[in-house]
Amino acid sequence: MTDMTEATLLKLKILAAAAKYDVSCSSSGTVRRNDGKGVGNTVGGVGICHSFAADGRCIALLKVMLTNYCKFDCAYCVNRRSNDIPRATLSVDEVVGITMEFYRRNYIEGLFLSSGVVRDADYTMERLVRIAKELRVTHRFNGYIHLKSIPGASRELVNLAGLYADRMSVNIEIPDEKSLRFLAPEKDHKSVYEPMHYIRQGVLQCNEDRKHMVKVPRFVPAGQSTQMIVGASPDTDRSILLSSSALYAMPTMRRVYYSGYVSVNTYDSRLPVLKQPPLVRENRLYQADWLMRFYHFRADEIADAEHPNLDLEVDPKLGWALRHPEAFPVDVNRAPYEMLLRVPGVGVKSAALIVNARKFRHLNSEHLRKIGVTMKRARYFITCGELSVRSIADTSPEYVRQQLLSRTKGKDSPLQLSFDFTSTTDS
Amino acid sequence: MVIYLFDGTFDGMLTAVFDSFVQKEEPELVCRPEEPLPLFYDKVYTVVTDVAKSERVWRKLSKVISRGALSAFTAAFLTNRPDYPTHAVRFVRRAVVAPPSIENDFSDASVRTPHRNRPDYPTHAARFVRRAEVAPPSIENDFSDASVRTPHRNRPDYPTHAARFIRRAEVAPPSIENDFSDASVLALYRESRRVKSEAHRMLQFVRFQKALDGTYFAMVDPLFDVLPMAISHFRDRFSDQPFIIYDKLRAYGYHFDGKDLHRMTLLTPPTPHHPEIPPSVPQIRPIGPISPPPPTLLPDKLPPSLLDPEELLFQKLWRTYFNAIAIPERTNPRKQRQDMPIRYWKYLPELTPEPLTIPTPPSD
Repeated sequence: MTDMTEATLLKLKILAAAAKYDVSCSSSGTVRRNDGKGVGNTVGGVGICHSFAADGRCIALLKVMLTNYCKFDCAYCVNRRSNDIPRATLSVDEVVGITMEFYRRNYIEGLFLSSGVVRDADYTMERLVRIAKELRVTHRFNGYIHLKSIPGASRELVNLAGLYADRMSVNIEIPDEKSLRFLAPEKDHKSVYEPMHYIRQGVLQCNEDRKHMVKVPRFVPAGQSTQMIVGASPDTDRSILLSSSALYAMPTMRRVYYSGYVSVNTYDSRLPVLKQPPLVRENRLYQADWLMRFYHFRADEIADAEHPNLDLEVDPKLGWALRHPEAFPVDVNRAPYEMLLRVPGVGVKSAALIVNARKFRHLNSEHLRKIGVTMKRARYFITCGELSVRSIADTSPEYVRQQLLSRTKGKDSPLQLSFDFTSTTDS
Repeated sequence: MVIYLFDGTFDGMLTAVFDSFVQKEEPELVCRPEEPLPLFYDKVYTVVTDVAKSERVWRKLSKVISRGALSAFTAAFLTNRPDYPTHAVRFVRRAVVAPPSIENDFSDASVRTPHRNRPDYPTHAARFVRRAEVAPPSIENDFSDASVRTPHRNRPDYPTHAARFIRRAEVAPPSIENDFSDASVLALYRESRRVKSEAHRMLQFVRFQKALDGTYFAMVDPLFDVLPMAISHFRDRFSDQPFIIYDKLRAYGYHFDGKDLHRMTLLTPPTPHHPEIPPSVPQIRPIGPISPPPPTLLPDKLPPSLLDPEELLFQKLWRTYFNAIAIPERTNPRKQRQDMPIRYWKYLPELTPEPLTIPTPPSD
């Protein structure tokens, strides 16, 4: 690998920084065994996060752009053609070489490859497919490959990419079509939904073929994912969650990611000027996403028409519980699993443990505490025959809300003096 | 208070269970001899490890509890909590007298067919069966319904099996491994998760360095002895490159030479060849008894003179990538420390500074 030089270092720095706003990081979802003739494998189940960056996000893949030259001028993107930033392009050999060497040292699980659009969508997509093909065929790489599908690419290229990639994704970025046209006049939703449709058709066709033929190559075995930017446009959380749940209804859509908008192009007046990215809102959206996927919630239960935006102070599950006090208190020893999941303080693991443990004996609050239920929250919403705290049915949602919020707010009592040592003025 | 002392091995613990049944008593404390005993006790009994006895207990245990619980039981033993063996012995005593769970009755086709090991499985299966009875057959493809997604589909005889399984499950006694109101079962669950997450972290944070002869070397020091749990993953993944993973604290490691795994011990730390001595002159080795060096003498990483010429370049590339991929506006050092404990940082090239290499003098 003597063609890796200091120049490669600089290119990698530029192109990794260009790719960092794409938050998808999963490295699981498919099992690829090493048949003895290749390099590596992919683990199913829980993915392996090899490192954690300074912003706390996991690094499981080599996430780079092939090039950050782009012919489009989307307002929210740092790589837009009217930005004056250092631009670079990695060669096919460099990407393949770096991926293989990092993989052999157990730094990464695989490759995440994106690109700016150069010349046209098909030209760029062809280069991406070439890299994936070279890794799989020439180097017999069995690790994880996540390819971004370029919006506007032709069906043949998407089908070819699906034979080599484990996951493919297209970013929706802005869920509302009008806002998207406002911020990126050269793009539209059709160019995003079309490759998603091709990927879905490819997977369904592959599954159909597998029923009739024995040896059919797998097509995008880990499914697809997508990403939405939160905070760059005036969309409500309700519209974001409704589009998410419509996307999850597709059988091949595995994950929707939400990326808090980081103020990159502050000179552009179409974008909001945010002092810091909307991290709390992004966290609430991820919590809502988990509720939809694991807790059997529907999108319109989490954010209904009267409350289109998620409450930033309380998590969505507690918010639902406070809006629907008629469903509580829940009898831990008798309620069905779905109702146990709705109790704030009870997660998927705790609910499963409760359902199993209550076959043996009547559960009281000590058992629940040992199981791992957050009793400080749950005690207002459950009954197990002996709690001394009055539940939400005896008090009111406002009282419960105030009790729970006053615990999490500042731990200092009003009698404690505090000095502001961080002020910069001299005294 | 009845106290059993055992030698700290897995066989010793199962022998303690066997002996407790022979002597018809329930030990309140099971511990290793070096641990301090409580003030007041009635009887101390020292368990003599007997592999035949432990085999009998193990065979019975594997018939009674499910595969998942068995794997959790073996993993949880690796923990270093002193109170854990007491819970383990109580758990095994309860398990071997309890009636066996029907989940393991693989002679019954209705148990073989669907997916088990999910606590909400009966709910889903029951719902599916009820729906199948009243709805036209197309609900099998209604993937928006969790009760359809969860179990295995595509088998026309599936509802029959599911219905039979439900009927049996309703009358059968539940398997005690799921009794999470019992402190011993919770202790088993908690310790097994602790050990398994340490093994998972080994998969995450092992970093290989390529040495001069092409072997990839990695040093680890896990809290529990989880290297055997993780080594098969590395053997499968890196089956075309020779590697060594060495556990500093327990003084053993595994060497994969391209074909087989060998368990090995380092007798002297890998000393670099001093750059001023010509390679033909043999190095002076310390005189003394050959024994594994203490962990403090073992380096965390290979010294630069033993590394492949391009290794430092790839570490530098990785460091550059690691620094470039973070978004500065979202910096969150607390989460970084939570997910990646600081005790691993000394092995990670991205969080240690570049090694200083002795500069070669200019040749003139």
